Amino acid sequence: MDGDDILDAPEGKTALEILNKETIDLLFVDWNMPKLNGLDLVKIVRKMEKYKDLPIIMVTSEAARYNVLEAIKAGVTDYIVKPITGMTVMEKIKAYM
Amino acid sequence: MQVKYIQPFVNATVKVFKEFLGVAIKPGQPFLFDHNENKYSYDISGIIGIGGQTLGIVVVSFPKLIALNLASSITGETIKIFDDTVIDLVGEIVNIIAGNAKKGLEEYKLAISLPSIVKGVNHQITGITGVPMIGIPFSTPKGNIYLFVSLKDLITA
Amino acid sequence: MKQRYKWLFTGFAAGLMILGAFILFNDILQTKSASFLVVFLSPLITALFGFISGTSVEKIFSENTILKNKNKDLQKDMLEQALKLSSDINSAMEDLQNHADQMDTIVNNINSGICFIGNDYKIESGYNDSFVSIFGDKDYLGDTIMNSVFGILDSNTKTSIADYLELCFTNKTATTSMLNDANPVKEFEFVQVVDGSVVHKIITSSISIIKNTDKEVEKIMFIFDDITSENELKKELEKRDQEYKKRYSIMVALFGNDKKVIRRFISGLEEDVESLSLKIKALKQNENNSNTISDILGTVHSIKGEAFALGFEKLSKIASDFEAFFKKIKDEILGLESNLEIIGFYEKLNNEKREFDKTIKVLEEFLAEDDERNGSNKEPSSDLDLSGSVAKHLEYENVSVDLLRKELELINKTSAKETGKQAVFTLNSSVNSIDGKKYKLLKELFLHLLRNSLAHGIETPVERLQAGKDSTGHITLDILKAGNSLVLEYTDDGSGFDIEKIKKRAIENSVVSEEEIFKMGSMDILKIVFNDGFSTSDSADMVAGVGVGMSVVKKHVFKGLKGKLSLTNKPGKGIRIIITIPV
Repeated sequence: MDGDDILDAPEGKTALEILNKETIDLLFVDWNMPKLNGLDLVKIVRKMEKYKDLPIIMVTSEAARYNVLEAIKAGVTDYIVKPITGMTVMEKIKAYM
Repeated sequence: MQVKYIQPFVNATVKVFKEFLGVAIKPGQPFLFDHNENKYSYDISGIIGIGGQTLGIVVVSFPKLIALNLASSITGETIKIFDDTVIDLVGEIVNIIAGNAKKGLEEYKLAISLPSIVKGVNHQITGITGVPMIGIPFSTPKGNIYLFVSLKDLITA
Repeated sequence: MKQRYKWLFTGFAAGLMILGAFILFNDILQTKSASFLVVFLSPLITALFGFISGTSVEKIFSENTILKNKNKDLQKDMLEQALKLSSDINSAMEDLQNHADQMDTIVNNINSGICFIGNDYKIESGYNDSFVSIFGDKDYLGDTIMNSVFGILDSNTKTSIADYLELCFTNKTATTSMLNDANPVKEFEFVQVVDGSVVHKIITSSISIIKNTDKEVEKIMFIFDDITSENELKKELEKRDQEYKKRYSIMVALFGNDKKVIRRFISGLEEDVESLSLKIKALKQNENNSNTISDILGTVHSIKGEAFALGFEKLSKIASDFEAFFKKIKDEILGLESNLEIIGFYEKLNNEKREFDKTIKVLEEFLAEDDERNGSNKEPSSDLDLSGSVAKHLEYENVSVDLLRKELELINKTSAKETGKQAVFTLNSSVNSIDGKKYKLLKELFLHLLRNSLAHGIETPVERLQAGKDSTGHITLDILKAGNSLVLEYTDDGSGFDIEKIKKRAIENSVVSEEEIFKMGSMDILKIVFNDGFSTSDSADMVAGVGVGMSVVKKHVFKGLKGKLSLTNKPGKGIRIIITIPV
C-alpha cells in the first residue's frame, strides 16, 4: 500500500474519533448515516483548525439544488451522486490529491 | 385555466384609475378579441411581456381622450395636444400598472418585462401565436379602455 | 517526495468505494506523479514569467547606477537614457494596450454574454457585446445585477439569487462546479418588448469565481447563453409530435365508426359550437344566469355523451370538464373570473373542433390524391366529405331510421361497457326515415334516456340474477306513425325509478320540503327527475351526468319537438316512456 492509507468509519461518531486521532487528507462522507449525519459531521470537521482546507466529498442520493446549497453552506468541497462507481470515486481522488 | 394571472392586472388597472383620476372603474364583460372586428377604439397601448410559468402578453390600451385626461390629471395642467409628454406619461401609468400587478403575482414564478408603448389609431396588437387574445373592457365616463391578455396556459393547460 | 495520504470513508457507501479504489489503485499512482510534476513545475514557470517581465526594469536600474558612477558626458547620456526609458515605457504601455485590446476582442468574439460583478453585486465595466445583445442596450454600470439583468424575475427567485451570490462571495471550500450546480438561475426566462412585440428568451447562466492573492473572492464572472432557438426547435418538435398523436387518435375514432354516424356527429358539433358561442355571448356579468347556463349545460352534456360514445376521448373529456365547471357556477352571480374561465373552456372546445376539421381535411386530401392516382373520374371524396360545410345542409334531408339505430346501438354499447352492465338495445320502426330537422333532437333525447337507463335503471348482471331476471338487460324503442303523429315508445327492464331515493335527494337538495313530499303522489315525485340539475348520482362521470340528462329530454320533447311525454314507472321491473310528436 505504497503511501496511501484508507480508513473506514461506519457512521459519523466513529468518523469523528478517527479524524481527531489521525490527520486525514481526503474525506468522503455519506449524507445519510445513523447517529451523526453527514452534514452535521462536515460542519464539525470544518470547525477543526487542522481541517480548514480539507477536501470533503459528500455522497448523496439526490443532487437537487437545495441539497447542493445546504452542502456548500456546511462546507462540502464537492459531491458524488449515487449510485457511485469506482470510476467516479477515482476521478474525485485525482482531482483533490 | 390560468385566470389567476389576469386578476392582478385587472386589480392594478382599477387601482391606478382610482388613484390618478379618482374614477372608480369596473371590468366589463370579457370577449375574444378579433382585430378585424372594428368595434374597439384605442390610440395608445402599453405592452407588457410575461415569461416563466406562463408565456404571453398583457396590453393596456387607451383612446386618445382618456390618455389626455390622465396626463392632465397627473400634471395638473390641461393638456390638449397628444404629444410626447402624453406618451411618456401613459408609459409611466402602464409602468405603474405593471408594477402593481407584479405585487399580486409574487407567488408565481413569472418574469414581467418593462412596458413598451405603441401608438396609432387601432394599431395592430398581436398576441402569442396560436393563442387567442381576450379583451376586458373598462368603461369610464370618457370611453372604454381595454386590457388585452394573451397567455399560453389560458387555453392549452 | 514521498508523502503518505490518508483517506477516510464514512457511511454505507464506504465498502463499495474502497473496492473501487483498489481496482484503480495503479491508475492513481501514475497520475499522482504526473500531478506532482505539475505542482513542482508551476512555481518555476511563474518565476520564469516574472523574470522575463521584470528584466527591462532591472536593466534600466542597473544601467542608471553605472551611469552615476561614470560621471562622464553626464547630461547627454542621461538625456539619451531618459529618452530610452520613456520609449521603453511607451512600448511597454503599447504592449499592455495591445494585450488589453486582444482580450477585448476575445471577450467580444465569444457568443456568450459576459459580465463581472463585485461584492456589492454591481455590474462592472467591461461587459461584452453579446451581453448587451442578450439583455438589451442600456446602461448597466452602477446597478446591481439583481435590478438590471434579474430585475424582471419574481421576487422569490431574486431572493435566492441574492443568497446565492452571498454564498459565492463568502464560501471558501466549495468548488466552482459545485457552486454552479447550486445556481438558482441556471436556466431562466427573459422577456422584453422590442418594437411593440414581446420577445421571450431562454437564457442559461454559469459563474466563475475570481480570487485575489489572499484567496478571497474578488469578483464573480457571469456567463450567459441564449438558448432560445435550440429550445424552440425542441418545443416545435414536441408540439408536432403531440399534434400527430392527437390527429392519430381522432383518425382512429373516425375509422372506427360508421361514416354516416360521423357525418351527423360533425355537423351536430358544428351547430353545437356555434350555438354555444351565442349562448356564451348572452351571459351577463354580475348577474345570475342560471337559465342561460342550463341551456349551455344541455348542449355540453350532449357533446360529452356523443363524443364519448364515438370514442373521441379528448373532446368528451373537455366537454365533461366544461360541464362540471358550469354545474358549479350555475346558481352563482357570474364574476369576471368565471367569465374568463368560460371563454377559456369554449376556446378549448373550439380548438378541438378545429382539430377535427384539420384532421378530416388531411384525410380528404390524402384520399383525393389516391383518386387522382387511380385515374378515377369520381368526384373527389364525395362520399367521404365529412366537413362541416357539406354536413350542414344535411339537416334538410330526411334521415333513415337505420342511422338512428346505429347511433343508439353504439351509445348503448359504450355506456354498458363503461358501467359494467349488460344490455341489448332493439329498435323497431314502422317508418323508414325521420325528418332531418327533428333528427338531432330525437337522437340527443334517446341518448340521454339510454345513458340514464344504463347508469340508474339496468342492474348489474349479479343483481339481475338475484332479482330473478335475465343477466342481460333489455332496452327497446318502438317507432310508429299514428295519424298525424309519430309515437315513440321507450322501455327498459331495469329497476325502475327508486321513489325513496328520489325523495331523499329532493329533500337533501331542498327541491321540496319534507311536508310537501309527504303530500305528493309518486307521479309528482317522478316529475322531480325531470327537474333541471336533479341527479340521484353523487358524482358525475362519463355516463351518469350531473343532473342534466332528464331535463334535456323534457326540454327537447316539449320545446323542441312540441310533443308530449308520458312516463310509467314499474318499481323493480323497469320504465316505459311514450313520446308523441306531431309530424
